[in-house]
Amino acid sequence: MKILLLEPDAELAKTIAAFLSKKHHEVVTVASAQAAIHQADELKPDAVILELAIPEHNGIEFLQEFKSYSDWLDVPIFVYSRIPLADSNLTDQQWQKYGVNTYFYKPTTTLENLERAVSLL
Amino acid sequence: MLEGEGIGAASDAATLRAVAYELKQPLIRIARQTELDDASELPSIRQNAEDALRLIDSFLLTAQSEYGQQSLNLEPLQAGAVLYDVSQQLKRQTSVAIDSRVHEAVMTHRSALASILAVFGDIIGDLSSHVVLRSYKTRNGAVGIGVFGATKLTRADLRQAMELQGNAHAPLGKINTQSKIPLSIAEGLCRAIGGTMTIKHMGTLSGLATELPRSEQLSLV
Repeated sequence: MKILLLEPDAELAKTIAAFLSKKHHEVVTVASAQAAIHQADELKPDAVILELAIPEHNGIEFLQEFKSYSDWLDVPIFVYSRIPLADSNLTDQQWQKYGVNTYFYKPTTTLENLERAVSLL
Repeated sequence: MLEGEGIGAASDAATLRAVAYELKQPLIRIARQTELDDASELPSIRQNAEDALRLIDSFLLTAQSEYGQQSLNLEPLQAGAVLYDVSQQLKRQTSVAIDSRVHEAVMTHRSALASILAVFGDIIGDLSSHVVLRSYKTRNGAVGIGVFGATKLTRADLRQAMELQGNAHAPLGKINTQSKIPLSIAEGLCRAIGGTMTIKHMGTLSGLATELPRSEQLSLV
């Protein structure tokens, strides 16, 4: 599966990418929303894993931009964030509107569980 | 309230949140890096990092509520669902059973309640080889949720534990004050979700519990 990983923490991005690669996924890592939009064009990802706390733009702005392109409307998004869901101030309906498949809180979600969810697609 | 006081409190809360996020980031890196290898010591490193993350989140929830800048969003929840989640965590360290005697919902905050029960579980698990996660009705119509074991705890034990916390030279009391999340944070979380922290005796078991208002919203359904 081709996964676009938007993770601004370089060390953590390396860890997540290494774990997913071990599970036979192709992973492209980017650190900003702009780079993610650019890479999505080339990679044509099957799924996006997104940290909401990103530099310059926030994750919600990225989602708005990403989902404004018809080609990517059906690409499932997995939020994997250090921000607790309760602090995101978005309703379930809003997450669905942005095409977010599942919201994972980093401190309590292992990479094993994240990978399992992505693989279920 | 004076305008200046409000700004100060808001700024303190924002600083606290920012520090908490910065503290969590290296712990997240450590916890997730341990998943890359199979070395035997890594699960305990991961457990320690995840315990520290839980402590920071619990402290943050308490502090947000104490600063009065943000009250916790309470929602109607079935006690049994939270008991099940906590039992999954506790069963790594002790033998656990669930005894859910209440089927109505309570008004609570899921992660705050889970943290409270995890603290209670740590403490009771130290005193008893088998713990029971239990929900029960109180005489005044509230719902109690707690962790029980084959031990005889008293209010004096609880009071002593609260006094001993953080005091390195104090003699050890019955309740272990070295739990992964301090008892004072559990007490703060109980207050934040509109409950109380109490010692409860049920049959041959005694334990620590929090008593919460029922959710009228779901009781009517």
